[in-house]
Amino acid sequence: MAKKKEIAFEEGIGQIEQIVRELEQKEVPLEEALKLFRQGIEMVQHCNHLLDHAEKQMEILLEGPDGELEVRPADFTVEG
Amino acid sequence: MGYDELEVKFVPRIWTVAELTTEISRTLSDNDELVSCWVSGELSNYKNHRPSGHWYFTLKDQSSSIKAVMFRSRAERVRFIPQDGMKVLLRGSVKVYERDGNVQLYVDELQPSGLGALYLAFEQLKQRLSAEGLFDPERKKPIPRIPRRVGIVTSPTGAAIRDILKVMGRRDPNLSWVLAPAAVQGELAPREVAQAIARLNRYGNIDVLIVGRGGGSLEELWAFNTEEVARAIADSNIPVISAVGHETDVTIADMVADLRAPTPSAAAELAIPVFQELRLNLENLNSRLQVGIQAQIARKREKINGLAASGPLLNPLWRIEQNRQRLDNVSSALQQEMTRFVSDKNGILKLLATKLDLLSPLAILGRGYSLTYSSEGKIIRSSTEANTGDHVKVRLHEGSLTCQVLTKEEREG
Repeated sequence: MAKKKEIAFEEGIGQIEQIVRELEQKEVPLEEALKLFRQGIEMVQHCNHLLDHAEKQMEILLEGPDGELEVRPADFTVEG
Repeated sequence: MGYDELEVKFVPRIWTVAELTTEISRTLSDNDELVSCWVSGELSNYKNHRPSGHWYFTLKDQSSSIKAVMFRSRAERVRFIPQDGMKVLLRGSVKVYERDGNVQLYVDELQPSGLGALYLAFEQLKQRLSAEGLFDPERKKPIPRIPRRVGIVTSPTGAAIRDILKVMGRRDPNLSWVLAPAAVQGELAPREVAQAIARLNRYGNIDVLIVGRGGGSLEELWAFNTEEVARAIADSNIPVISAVGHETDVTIADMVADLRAPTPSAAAELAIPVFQELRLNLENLNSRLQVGIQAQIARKREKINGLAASGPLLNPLWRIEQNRQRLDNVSSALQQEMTRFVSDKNGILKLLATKLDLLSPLAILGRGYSLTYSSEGKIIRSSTEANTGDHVKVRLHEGSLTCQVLTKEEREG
């Protein structure tokens, strides 16, 4: 599970696409089909999770005179 | 040195005019500086010659002038209409027009001055970086389809940041971004833009960079035509989308960037997918996954049904019934055989009885034969066994006779 957390949305989508293609296009032995399905469902949940829990961060990245990075929350809003 | 001495010491070479112009020609073409040179000056006596389409003019400044020709194939590429009095910058080669012996400029490129100087710098930098391979398609990094965090390099007060954030908010309201502020015009701009790109690379955890500013004059966009910015983009580990000015202005930064967007808004559109589409795509994949597994299971079920419909599995008692039927068949056949066998035996018995009957002496008597016995009861088989006057008994089929022998013959033929 700890490993799955690191899978980016794009990669997750890619894995689901791969699984869907396999299930759609060829005859897969039952046990393997169920395994693929379970993996796919887990990845769908993971991707949904990523979409739901993306916490918006707005930052301004500055640099101090000593070359130190300084991060500030951006406070300006954009109309529209 | 007196005039007389000169005459004595040097025999002067006498040139023909053709030899002289050829020599001038050769000398000019030996000088690399003159084969391709940039010259600034003012246009005069401009004439677009018809029907050839060649341009003829004189380039001059306060103290001198030189004739210039621009052939049609080159002139067609010039983006402005030349006018007398216009300050220009041109590139060309110096050659002799041998018929007149005139030294002329043969012009390859023509730019209005002012812009001309920038244009020159632009062209030179472009050639240098191109030769280094900085624009090669193989160098371009792919732009991630779904970035988690976007880095932006532009002025915090300019139009570009407003445009980018507006598009971004519309497409994915939750997307995170980091702005590295930089002046995008003026003397400090090249350094600040380059540093901001490097800073975002150091900060990390950023999937794509948008580097740019809104539209402006060539001078205003100039930071994006500098080597400093070009190299910062080329050195970026994060893929860069350039977004400089409006569509017609192609800058060096655009050429080095991994992807060129015509405007900052377009850059945001290229970088950020529409959140709703991501959601829809995921839902679509999810339902395909469900359908896929159902189809797999349905196919297997069909296969099982097909097998079940074929005989043995349909009725588990089938084999027993089959065996029973076979047994029935065999036993009734056996019965038939037995019956036939038995009745055949009856036939044989009848036949044998008949044969036996035929052999019985009684049966022989039945056909008219008779047996003759002596008085002692012995069967008489030859006339010699009886004498004339003897009494013999003759056994017939039915009953018997007692007879007297009257005569006898020894042997019958």
